[in-house]
Amino acid sequence: MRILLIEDSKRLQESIARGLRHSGYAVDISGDGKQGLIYAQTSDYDVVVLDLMLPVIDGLSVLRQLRAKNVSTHILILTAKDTLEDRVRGLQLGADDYLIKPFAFDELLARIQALVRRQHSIKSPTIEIGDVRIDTAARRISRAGAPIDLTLREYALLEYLIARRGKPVSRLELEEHIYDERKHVMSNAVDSAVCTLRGKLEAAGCPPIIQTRRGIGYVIDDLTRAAGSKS
Amino acid sequence: MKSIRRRLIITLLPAFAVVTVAGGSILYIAVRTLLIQQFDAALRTKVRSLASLTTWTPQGIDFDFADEYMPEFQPGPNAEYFEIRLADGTVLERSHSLKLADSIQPEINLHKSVIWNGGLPDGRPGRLAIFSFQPQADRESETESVTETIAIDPPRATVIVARSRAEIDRPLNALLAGLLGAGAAMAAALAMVVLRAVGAGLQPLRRLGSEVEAIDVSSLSARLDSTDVPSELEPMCTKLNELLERLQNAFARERRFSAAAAHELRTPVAELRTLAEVSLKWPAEPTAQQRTIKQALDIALQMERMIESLLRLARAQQSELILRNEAVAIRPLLEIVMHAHEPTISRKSIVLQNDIPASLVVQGDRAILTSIFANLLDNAVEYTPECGYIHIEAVRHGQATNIVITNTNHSLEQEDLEYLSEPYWRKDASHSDPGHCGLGLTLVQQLATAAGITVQLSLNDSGDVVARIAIPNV
Repeated sequence: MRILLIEDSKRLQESIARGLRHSGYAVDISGDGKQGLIYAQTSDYDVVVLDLMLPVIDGLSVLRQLRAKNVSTHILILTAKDTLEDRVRGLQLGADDYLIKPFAFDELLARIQALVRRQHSIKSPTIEIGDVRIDTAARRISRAGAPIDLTLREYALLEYLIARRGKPVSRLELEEHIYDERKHVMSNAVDSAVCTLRGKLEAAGCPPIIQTRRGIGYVIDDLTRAAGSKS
Repeated sequence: MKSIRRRLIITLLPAFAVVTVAGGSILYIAVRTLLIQQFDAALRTKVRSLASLTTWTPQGIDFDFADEYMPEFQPGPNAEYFEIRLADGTVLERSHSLKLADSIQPEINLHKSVIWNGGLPDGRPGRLAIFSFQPQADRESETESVTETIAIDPPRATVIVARSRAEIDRPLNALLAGLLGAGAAMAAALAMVVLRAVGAGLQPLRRLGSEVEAIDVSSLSARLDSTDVPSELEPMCTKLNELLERLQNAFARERRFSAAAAHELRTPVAELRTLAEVSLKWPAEPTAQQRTIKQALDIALQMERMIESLLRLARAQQSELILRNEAVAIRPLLEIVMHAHEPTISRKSIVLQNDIPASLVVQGDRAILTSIFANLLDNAVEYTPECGYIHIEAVRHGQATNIVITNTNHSLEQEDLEYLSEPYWRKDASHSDPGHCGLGLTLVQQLATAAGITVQLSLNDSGDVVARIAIPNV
């Protein structure tokens, strides 16, 4: 999952991005509203974390312009402005969530996870595809009850494919959602990551769950069992 | 409680009552005087008529009286009385109505008449007139010895006429009754009029009072309605509205300040908390840990600066500063202040021109002057663009020494100037600059006010920022 963080405080940029990356998210950072607006319009993000008091273009203007251009990415406002009027105005202008600084990082993470689930029409934090069980809150994977140890990148890849289950996902889309702008992605990076992921998921002789669609990309068939996992 | 309404009623009602009673009394007395004058004139005429009917001859005094011409002297319920006496007390003639033997007969001068109140023989109140006269000589009965007649002086006689006062008393009593009735009715009407007039007159005051009473901290934007306000209340209404304006602005300023202070404190706290939480959850490499600790220290120092600025501002606002009056050489002070900015000036290739003469000395508080110049020069260095210039000069102006700091400006516009001294105001919406907490110019203004110094910020024709610090010459 790929997050855009539009925040002018360098220290917060650094800390939040570090925490989110450790949590398996690809994070792009923008220090001002103008650049953030361009990023949000040109890339497909799962969630945008938006400060309000930004240089060049303020956060509310960014929000207004994104919604005016029908950018449907979920937006979480993260700001020190705490009045009722500020919160109401932010939500009325199209924000999906509002969090006031200072905040607990776990709360920010939980809210981002909730927005990611909403982005992909998932209600429950736990999803089961066949005998594969993924706990998006705890970021744990198990197959037939046996835990599987995945790297952050592998987890992000699997989480995205599961979020888009039943629909083929292109290599480019996968690249966009699991790598952030810092990474120079090799042309076969996605194929290589999928190969490694398959190896871990099918290690115990379990049937493959990630299918290749030649010329299109990859897909996980929708064998959802968890109640409420699909809205 | 002192009530204007009660006070007006207590004053107006007795005043109206006194005026009414006085007016009635004057009217009564005037009518009474008029009636008595007319009555007395008629009485006097009657007395003189009777006197004229009395003639004298050497043979005696004759009174030529015919009842039919003066029927009022006939006995009856409205009878009038007369009596003519000679000087020796002999009664010459009496009206038929008079049964009384002797009447009052005061001593009066000849040809004089006196009128007084008294009782009539039948007991009615009356008015009596007495006239002393000498009967006229009867020419028709004169004999040939006219000279003899003339030689003898006629005897003196008096005529008394008594007449009932009913003609005076009846209209006077009717007038009195009318006046009392009208007075009572007028008093009642006046009381009502006064009550209503006072009530109506005080209505705008009551409305104003209700409007003022309804205003509280949450409704300071309300203004008193000055339409239809009486001219007497207009100044009060205007002044109260001005006061409300000032109060609203002060409260708004206070709220902005509190909100801005909370916001400014939240950001570094958020930075510190997130830094600590993320670092605890995902510990960094030992080399990166040093950086984390350094970041935490920077945040702590930033918060310390902010708190220090807030405290200094609070002290300046509460006039807790102890001012010293000492000779301060400006140039060395500015050189010390600018020394801290030398790396930035060098990095940004700023041209600094300090034209303050070494001999310039002002009287003031060194610490306050240092703080004012440090904040102003800090801003000048920070916001002067690369290759810009900062010029410092001194100008004597009236009773003050003006230190003028001019610096190149590419960001501030004329409309920004009024906000420059607002706490936490910054040209850019972003408040993430850790080096500035947005209180510098607010503090400058507070310190300057406390020290009697004037600081004015303006833009010159070239758009440069001009800070003019006027230090009074003591």
